Amino acid sequence: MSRLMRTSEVIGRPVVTLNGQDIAQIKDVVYSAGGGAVGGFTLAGRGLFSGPLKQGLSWSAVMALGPDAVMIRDEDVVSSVTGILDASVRPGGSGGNVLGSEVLTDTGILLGTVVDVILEVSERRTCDVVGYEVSASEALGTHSAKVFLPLPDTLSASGEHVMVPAAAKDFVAHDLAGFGAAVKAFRKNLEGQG
Amino acid sequence: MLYTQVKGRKVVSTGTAETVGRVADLVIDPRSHTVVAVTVRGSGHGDTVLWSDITAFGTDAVTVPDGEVLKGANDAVKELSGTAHDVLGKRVLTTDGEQLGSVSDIDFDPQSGAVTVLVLPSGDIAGSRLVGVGPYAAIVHAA
Amino acid sequence: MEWWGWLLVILVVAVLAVAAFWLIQRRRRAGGVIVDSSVSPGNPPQEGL
Repeated sequence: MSRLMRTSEVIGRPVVTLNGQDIAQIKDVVYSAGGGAVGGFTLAGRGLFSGPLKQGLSWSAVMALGPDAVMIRDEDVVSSVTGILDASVRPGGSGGNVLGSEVLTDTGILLGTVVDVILEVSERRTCDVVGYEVSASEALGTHSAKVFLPLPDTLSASGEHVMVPAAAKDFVAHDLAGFGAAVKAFRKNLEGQG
Repeated sequence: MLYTQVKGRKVVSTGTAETVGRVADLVIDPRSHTVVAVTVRGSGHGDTVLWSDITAFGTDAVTVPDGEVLKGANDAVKELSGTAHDVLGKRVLTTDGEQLGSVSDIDFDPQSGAVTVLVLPSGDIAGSRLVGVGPYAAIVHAA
Repeated sequence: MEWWGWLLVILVVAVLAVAAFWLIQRRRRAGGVIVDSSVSPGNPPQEGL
């Protein structure tokens, strides 16, 4: 059974070893815009006064991404952050952070701003970004409601913009349930072709 | 036998028929899910008795041959003691990253020391599912 | 000002400094969703990225 979850829920979730130690918490979720595959996470400390850690967590080292914790075998599986982030992406600044990016059609129309990102975790232990939650602009005609945009309907993404085809406004879903169905249908379609 | 009932029970020496202390805590090894030692308070001797040195765990008293078996904790026991390793009251997390609640009580076999059940308000968990215990949570295998 | 006036000032400054530090660290711990633009559909991410 695959599950949909928001990155806003995953950020800040504790990273716990099988020995019951919360060694860190999730800071950033790192993914590739092409297929949406999540490569891993950057980490932050757990204390009241701790900041970002120099280590990151590769997705391959994650035992389970659950509703209350990210489980890992032991603290040795965390790796250096540069292995997780591409050198061209600058952490800290807005560079590369898709939250707050403008959703722009390739015809130059602003559809809205990204306020959250939707992940799908399957039982085959894959984790992918499947879409964006967008705070809609007037161009979408939904009066600044929040809508969901499936990833396959986007062309590319950066810390500044998420590019979508002009027809993307026809594919938006208005709630997570409807969005889930749209993602399923699209994946079935992919498997049929693959 | 329940952990909460055992706290404060008399520890009596069969040799001298005297109370040598009272049960403070049970030291549990999560890997074998058994009680490996008992910490004792108010004794004139040491504060820890190994499970193997206990004669019997009765419903009214824990019997030991004599007070000498109460020693200071050895290294193995020290590693498993302390609030970081306390199971009672600890948050329970499955290997799937799901929180099930907190341990309200622990059922153990007074003959073998095996931890049979972790009692949670949301439902019991077989002691054999215990994987590890740390400062943040007790980890159990997902159902 | 009496001696206790200065003590009060020091305490207030200390509390403000701690609060500021806490807020700064909280902001630094905040995470986002980073897109790795070096990867595209024709160039999939390597195992473990």
